Amino acid sequence: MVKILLLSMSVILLYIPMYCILASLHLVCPIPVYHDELRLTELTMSEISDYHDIDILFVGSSQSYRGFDVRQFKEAGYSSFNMGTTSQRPYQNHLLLNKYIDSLRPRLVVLAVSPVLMQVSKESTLDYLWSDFEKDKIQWELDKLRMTLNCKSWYMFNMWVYNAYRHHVYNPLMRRMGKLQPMERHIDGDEMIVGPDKYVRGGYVERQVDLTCSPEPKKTKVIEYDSVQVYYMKQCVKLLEDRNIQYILVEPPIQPSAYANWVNHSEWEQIIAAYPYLNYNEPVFLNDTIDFYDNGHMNYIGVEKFNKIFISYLKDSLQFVPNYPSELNEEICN
Amino acid sequence: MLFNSIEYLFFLPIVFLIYWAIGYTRINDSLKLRMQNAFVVLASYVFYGWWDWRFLLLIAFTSFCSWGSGLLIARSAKNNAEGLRGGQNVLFASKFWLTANIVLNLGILAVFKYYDFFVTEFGNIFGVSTDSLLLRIILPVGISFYTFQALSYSIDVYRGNIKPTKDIIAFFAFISFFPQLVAGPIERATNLLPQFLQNRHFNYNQAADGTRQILWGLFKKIVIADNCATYVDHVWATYDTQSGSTLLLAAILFTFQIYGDFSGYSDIAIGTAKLFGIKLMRNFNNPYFSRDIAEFWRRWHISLTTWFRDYVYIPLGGSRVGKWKIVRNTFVIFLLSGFWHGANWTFIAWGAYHAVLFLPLILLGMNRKYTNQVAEGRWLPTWKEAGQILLTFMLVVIGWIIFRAETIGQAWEYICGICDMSILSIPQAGTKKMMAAMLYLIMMIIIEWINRGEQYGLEIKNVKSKTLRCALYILLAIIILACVPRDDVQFLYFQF
Repeated sequence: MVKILLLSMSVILLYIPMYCILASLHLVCPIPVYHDELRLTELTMSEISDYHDIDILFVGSSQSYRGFDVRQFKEAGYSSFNMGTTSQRPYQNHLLLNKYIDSLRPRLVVLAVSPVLMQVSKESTLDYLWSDFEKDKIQWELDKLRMTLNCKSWYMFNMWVYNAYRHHVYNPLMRRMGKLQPMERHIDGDEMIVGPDKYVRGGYVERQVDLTCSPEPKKTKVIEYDSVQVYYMKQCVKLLEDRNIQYILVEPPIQPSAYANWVNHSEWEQIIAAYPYLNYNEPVFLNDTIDFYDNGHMNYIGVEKFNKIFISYLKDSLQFVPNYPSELNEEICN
Repeated sequence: MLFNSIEYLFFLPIVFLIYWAIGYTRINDSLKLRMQNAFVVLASYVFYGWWDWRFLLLIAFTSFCSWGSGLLIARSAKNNAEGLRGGQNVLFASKFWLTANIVLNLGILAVFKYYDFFVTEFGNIFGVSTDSLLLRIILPVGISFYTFQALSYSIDVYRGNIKPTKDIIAFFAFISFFPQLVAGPIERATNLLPQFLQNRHFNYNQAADGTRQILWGLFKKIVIADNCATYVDHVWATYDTQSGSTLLLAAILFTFQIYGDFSGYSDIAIGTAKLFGIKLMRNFNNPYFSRDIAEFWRRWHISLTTWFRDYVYIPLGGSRVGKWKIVRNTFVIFLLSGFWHGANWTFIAWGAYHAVLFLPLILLGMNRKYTNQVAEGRWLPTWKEAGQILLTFMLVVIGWIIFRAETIGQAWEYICGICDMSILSIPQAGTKKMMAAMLYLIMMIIIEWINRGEQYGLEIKNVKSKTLRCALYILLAIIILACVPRDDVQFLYFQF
C-alpha cells in the first residue's frame, strides 16, 4: 500500500513538468492546442478598466459581442460596454461579473442568453486559456484554473498546464532570446481588424454581409441543459439583485431556420420563467441570408435592425433613460 | 460508470477499502463472506446504476430467474436420480426449466436488442411501414454479456458441471460483479461462482499484479484506442473524399482501436478483479500475432469464442460430423457471433466473412496447426511467420472494415476506395497530429511482442531492477494522463 502511495505521489509531483516536456516534443496526443494570435477576448479584457459608471453592460457569448453594437447605443445616448467573450457560459458570466461589476457600476445589465449556452461546453474555457492577458496575470491564471476545474475534464487540465507554460515560461524565454516578437494585445484607435472581424472599441465585433449564408437544413435539435449552467445563471441574477442593479435577460436572434430546428423550447421556458426575459426570435423579423453570416450570428445589417428595436424597447417600454446627455456620455466613453 | 472516468477514480479505492475492511473484521468467516458478497452486489449495482438505475431491475430479474432455474433444474435431476417420480417426466421437468430460462433470457435480449431490427427488416422485405411497431428502447449496457453469463450457469447446472447454489447473494455477485459486468470477460459459473463461495484473503502480490494490469489496460484504452478513434472517426465520416492510403491507414488504426479498446477493458476488468482477490479468465492472447484465422479466433475475445464453442458448436456435433455439417456448424457459430455484436447486417456479414476464411482450415484439418506462441524461444519470427502474421492481420483488417461500416454498401465503397491508385499517395487527414499516437502504438506492439508469453503486456519479468520498473510504471502513468482525449470516449463493446 505504501509503495502504491509513493508511486502515486511521484506521478503527481512529476506530472506537470513531464507533461510540458512531452507536449513540447509533441509526444502527447492529442497535441495541445495553442493559438499564438491576438484574441478578441484579450482586446475586450484590455479595455474593461477604462469604463466606469456606464448605462448598460452587455454580458454573454459571441451573441452578445456580435449582437449589441455599442456605437448604436451611444448614438441613442447610452454609454455601454460589451463584456461578451467567445462561447461564454453563465459560469464565465458570473466570474466576469464578480470581477468587474463593482468597477463598471452599470445601471442596467443585459444578459444575452440562449438555450445553446446552457449546454456543457469546453470552448469558452479554451478561449480563455489561449488568451494571454497583460494585466493581472497571476489573477487571470487562477481564474483560468478555476474555469478549468469547473470543466471536470483531465484534457482541459492538460490544456491549462500547457497554455500556462507557454504564456509564463516558454514565450517570455523566447522573447528574451529574440526568437519571438512581442505582440500588441490592446486596441489602438477606435477599431481594429482581427481576422475576418472588425473589433470596435467598447467590445462590439462587427462582421460584414455575406450573402452566401444559407438557411440551416431542417433537422431536429434537442438541447441538453446543464444544471451547472442553470445554477450559475441564478447566481448571476443574485449577484445583480444583491447590488440593486437592474437587469434583463435577452435572447438575441439567430437564423429563423436554426431556431425552428430546436424542439425542446418548453424546458427552456421553464428555466427562464423566473426572470425578466425578452426573446427576439419570435416573431421573426430577420432574414436567414440577408441578416446573418452564419446560423447563430447576425451580420451588421441584422445587428442594426435588432438594436433599433431593442433601443426603442429600452426607451419606450422600460423607460430606461440615459444617465447623461449624449455629449457628456461621449466624454465618459472616451 | 466508465473505467476511464473521474468517478471511477474515486469509486474503486472506496470500494476496495470497504471490501477489505469487511474482510478483516472479527466476525465469523461465513458472515464475513456473505457481507463481502453483499457489498460486491451493492457496489456493482451502484456502478451499473450510475449509467441508468432503471435497468438494475432487469439485471436483478435475470439474476433471480437464472438462480431459481438452477435450483429447479437440480431438484428435478435429483428426483430423477432418486427415482422419486417417473424418469421421463423428471427429465422433461429438468429440460423444461432449462428451456424456460434460456427462452426468458434470450427473449429479453431479443426484445431489447433485436426486436426493432427484425420489425424494420420485415417492413423492408414486404414494403410496409413498420414505424408504429418499433419500440425504440434504449439498449441496456452490457446486456449480451450478463445474459450469456446467466445462460452458461443454467446450462452447466443441467449438464451437471456445477452444483446449483442456494446462496442468492453469491449468485447475484457472480452475475453483477462490476469489473466484468458490462463488457466481459463472459465468465463461466464453473470458474467464477466458486470464488464467491469461499473466503478471500488479501494478497499483496496479486493486488500489485492487478494494478499493473489496470495500468496496461488504461494505456491501451486511453493512449491507443481513444486517440486512434479521433482519426478513424474523422476518416469514416468523410471516407468518400479520402485517398486510398488514408482509408487504409484508418482501417489499420481501427484494427488497433478495437483491440486497444476491448482488450484494454478486459485488462482493467481482470486487474480490478485481482484487487478483490478474484481471478477472471483471460480474454485476449495477442490476437494480431496470429499466423492464421483459426489461431486468431483462439486469441480474440476468448470468453465469447469458447462460449459459442462449448454451448453451440459442440452440441451441434462440432467437427466430428460429416463435411456438410461441419460447414453448417462453422457458419452457425460465426453468424451467431456476428449477430451477438448487434442487430445489423454488417455484423452478420462480418461473421460470414470469417466463416469463409475459417472453413478451408477446418475442412483440411489445419485449424489447430498453430496452438503455441509464435517464435517461441526466439526474439524475432522467421520470414515465413512474419508473412503469415501480416497476411492474417490484413484479412482481419478487411473484416473490421465490414464491422465498422454502417451498411454493407458503405463497407464495399470503403474497400473499393482503398483499391485505388491513390493508395500510393501519402496518407492525409491529420496524420501529423497522429504521430505521437502512432509512436505509442509501435511501443505497445513491441512490448506485447516481447511479453507475448505472459498473461498481459506489462507483466515484465526481464527488467530485474526494481527502480527501473517503478520508473517505467510512473512514465506510463504520466503518458496515460497526458494523452487523455478531449471528450470521454465510451468503450466500444458497451454497445454489444
